[in-house]
Amino acid sequence: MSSSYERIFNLPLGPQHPALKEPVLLDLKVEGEHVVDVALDVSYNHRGMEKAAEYRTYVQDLYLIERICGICNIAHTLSFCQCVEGLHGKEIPERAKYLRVIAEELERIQSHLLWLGVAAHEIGFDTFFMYIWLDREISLDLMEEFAGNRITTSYNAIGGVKRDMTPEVANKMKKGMDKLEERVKFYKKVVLSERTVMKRTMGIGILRRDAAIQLNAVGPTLRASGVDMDARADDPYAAHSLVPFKVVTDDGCDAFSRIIVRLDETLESINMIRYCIEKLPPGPLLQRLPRRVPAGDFLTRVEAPRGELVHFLRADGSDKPYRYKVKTPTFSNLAPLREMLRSKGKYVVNVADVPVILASIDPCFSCTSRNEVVKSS
Amino acid sequence: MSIFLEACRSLLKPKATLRYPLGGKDLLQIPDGYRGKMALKREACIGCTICEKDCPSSAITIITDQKGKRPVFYLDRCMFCGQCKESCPTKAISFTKDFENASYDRKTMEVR
Repeated sequence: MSSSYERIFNLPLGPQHPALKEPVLLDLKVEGEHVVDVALDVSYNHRGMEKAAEYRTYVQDLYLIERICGICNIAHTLSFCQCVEGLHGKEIPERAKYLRVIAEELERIQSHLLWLGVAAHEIGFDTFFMYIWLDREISLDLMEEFAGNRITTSYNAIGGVKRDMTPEVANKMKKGMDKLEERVKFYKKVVLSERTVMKRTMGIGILRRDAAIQLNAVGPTLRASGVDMDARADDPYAAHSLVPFKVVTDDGCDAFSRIIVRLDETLESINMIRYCIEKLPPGPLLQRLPRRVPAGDFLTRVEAPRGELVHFLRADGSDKPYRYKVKTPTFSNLAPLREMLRSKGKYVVNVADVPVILASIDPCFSCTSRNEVVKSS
Repeated sequence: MSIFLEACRSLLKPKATLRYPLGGKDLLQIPDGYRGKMALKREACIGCTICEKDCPSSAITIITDQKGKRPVFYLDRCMFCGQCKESCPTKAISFTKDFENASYDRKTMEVR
């Protein structure tokens, strides 16, 4: 008769595994089929970007910071530009603020559709995945028209934005939004009626409201636990104080409600883009700022598609940053992920549910792996 | 069930993908303002070298020709961010819609 301790096995998932899109080690402790504990290691993608930022000028850093994450590139450049503009103490033109919101929300649409496709793929529903990614092309084509590139857009500039929105692009955008709204509503109907999706996500990856707050979850992961918290509403930046929107929450606390929250957020983003196109004020796009940034510290919060993104800049008065620090949403969601992956009482996590739970936080490990934790002996 | 109907409906729709480069190339719609291969208006360039200083991937070097200093762009290092165009005080740099820049020879990847 073996003791309960001996019945627990280590099951390493990753760093290279077909179920993972990026290298991460999930060292699962399993008792039979049930996951009882997990140790996470995200340090396989260290790229030294924060240090590299110290050796480049602010103008060059804009493109380095953009490449922290391809999918959230606008959120990253927006944070960086806000840090620099904040230290200069300058307001950017009103039109640029609205254009930044349009770019940010367009990015949110494509990111959420990308995630929904990945989630459908993890569930094993590849038909759904193909249709979602086909419709994601609409948003990417609009981004190409609007910013000049599909993913790494280089749209934000220090002091404003680089390109104006022509009336033709605005018309195309309106048509594209109508099409996307119709499709996203259809996907919501599919999610709410398809048994495959419900069976694989309902009651999976539970994160209770109090645990979500205590463990500092962010973004849709937090809002799917019923917490009304969004950097766009709590700490408005760009034109968010002028553009009305609803913070979407859901009380389901599981992977299914994370799907619903993201779909509803996509619909909100579509409405925000429509509002911005209607109310786009005339005026200049760019406020030219000096290359040397005054000494000081600045911290910004931006709601990236995956959650709250925090950028910190310390300037010493030269044309290069003294220190740059980024905290990405996935980093904040790692502790809640550990909570979701642990069986507790009646809540049981099967090994087969691990990829779905991991996908439900919309992880992006190459953004996260910027700091190395060294254990003290 | 709704996704099954959608799948049936899509059987009657045309292909979502283009046969690139076989036949689909002409159907590709490159939007205005796309950042492809760059072009330099030599008469507008004053040789101020700001583009070289601002280029984040060091894809620009300055050479001297009969009219004076001018930039040379290396497409193998360029990431098409458009900062050189932004920084240029005389708007001498522009981007074309030419995106097929892959080559076996590095020498053909220079824009002079």
